[in-house]
Amino acid sequence: MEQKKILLFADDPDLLFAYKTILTDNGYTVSTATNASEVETLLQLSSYKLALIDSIKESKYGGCDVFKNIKKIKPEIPVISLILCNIITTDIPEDDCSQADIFIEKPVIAKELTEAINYLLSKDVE
Amino acid sequence: MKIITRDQRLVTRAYWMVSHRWLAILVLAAFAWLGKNILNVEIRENTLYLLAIALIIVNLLSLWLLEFITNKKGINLYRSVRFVIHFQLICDLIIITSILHFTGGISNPFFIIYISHMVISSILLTRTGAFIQTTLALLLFGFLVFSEYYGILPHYCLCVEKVINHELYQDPYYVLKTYSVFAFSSYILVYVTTSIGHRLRSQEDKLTVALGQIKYNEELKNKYVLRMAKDILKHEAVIGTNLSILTEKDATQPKENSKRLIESSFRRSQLITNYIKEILYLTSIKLSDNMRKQIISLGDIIVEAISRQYELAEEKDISFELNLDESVDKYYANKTLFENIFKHLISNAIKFSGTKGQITITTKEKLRKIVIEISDKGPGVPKEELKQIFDEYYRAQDVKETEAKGFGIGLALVKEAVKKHDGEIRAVNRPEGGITFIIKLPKQ
Repeated sequence: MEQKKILLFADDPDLLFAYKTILTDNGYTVSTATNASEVETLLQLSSYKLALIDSIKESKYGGCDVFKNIKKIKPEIPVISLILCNIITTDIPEDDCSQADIFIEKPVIAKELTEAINYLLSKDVE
Repeated sequence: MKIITRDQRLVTRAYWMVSHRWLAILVLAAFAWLGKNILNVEIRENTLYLLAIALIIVNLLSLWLLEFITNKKGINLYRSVRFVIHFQLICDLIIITSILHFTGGISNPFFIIYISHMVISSILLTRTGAFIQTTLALLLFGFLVFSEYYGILPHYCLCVEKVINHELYQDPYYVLKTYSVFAFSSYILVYVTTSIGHRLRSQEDKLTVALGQIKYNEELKNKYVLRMAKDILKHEAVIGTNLSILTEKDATQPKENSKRLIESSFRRSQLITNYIKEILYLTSIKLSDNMRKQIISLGDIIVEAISRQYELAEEKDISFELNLDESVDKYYANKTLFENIFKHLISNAIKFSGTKGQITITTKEKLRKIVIEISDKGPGVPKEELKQIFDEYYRAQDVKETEAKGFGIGLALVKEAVKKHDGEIRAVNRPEGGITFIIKLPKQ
């Protein structure tokens, strides 16, 4: 069976490692990136079934830029965004990066994340 | 909470004058009509109507000027509005004098109306402005009564027999006495009202500033709480996610990743603990009134603080240079607070020093103060941020991370600890690079 490739972005190395562990433990192939340009390169080199973006609502971590890049280059890739808290106060304009397919609040529960991934990937198959 | 600035208050009052002038115009027109048609007074009602029209023109002009000034950018609003108020008051005084002239001059007790303008000018203008307006009123009134007395200007009577003595304007004793008493009382009145007005205005200004400060602090505090919660949650996100992975893994067969997950959780949990401890510590310093003090040795505390962080310094090959003056070594202070002062300042110096850097610590006496200087050869701090780095709320505006790069609230803690010993702290960038923290403590 072909392993499903997931693009993972997080600027925090500890979080990147944790998410990667969850994904690889569940049999996915993961490409990691810690900044927007890395994401751009990865998108051009390979195709992904799904993207996982950390801190999409905080401009300083670069998650929003990554999201915009993905939507520009490969708009068909579904996106799961991991957010600190679904707070109102954010420095990101409301419409800019609020269009991810699924938002998951941190700390991420491994089971919830895999369920969300499976759900989006099964939709893709349909 | 709405804050009204001094400029806005003056604009409101200028508009208040305009709205009340409409009322005065109505009263003047009604007086002319009633005097002629109901009271059968031989009144020059057409002249009074003309003066009412003059007042309307003044009012429309004032309105236009106020609109123009308030909408125009880049002008001094306060000075411009004061100019409009002066303009309105001068026009009013000329028209009042004209009304008086056509309604009996000094024989008409209506001359008291000047007082209302003196009070208004005392409230709205500076003391000098109010005295200028009062003097102008008295000059105009004086010109009127003495011109009528000497026959330069004709005298128009109100011609209500037995009510007003129409010959009063020719009575030198009455004219002189009334005019001087009126002038003297006017200046006293203006002096008193400007004093009260000035006091009220300065209190109002202070209140506006205080309200602005409260609003600003409230906003900063909210941002600070938001930032604090996010900082804690950020670390908690790592711990929580790691634990969720570990609980799902088979504990009897730990995988290779488990060690790293546990390690990062432990490190993040330590960061949260230290952060909360700093906040607790800072708040408790602020709240404590009674500190236990003892004789401490500055040298010992400095050396102890260095030795506690020596490992970190060694990693970066940082050397220390101590220039400690023995004569200022003993100090009566709270030991824990001083330990924290040096712990944070030395830790910052190590953090911001490059490899093979040098940290210099000096204690000396200067101008009856104990001076402690801690210098590093790091990148320094942008000039505009130098004063703010001690502000615990400053971090709310800062985009730096808590974890390692930023100052954290350590410097706020240091500042509070120094303040508790009646001292002061400041930071200066060194011309050769790096930063120096200078603590000045009172000599005991």
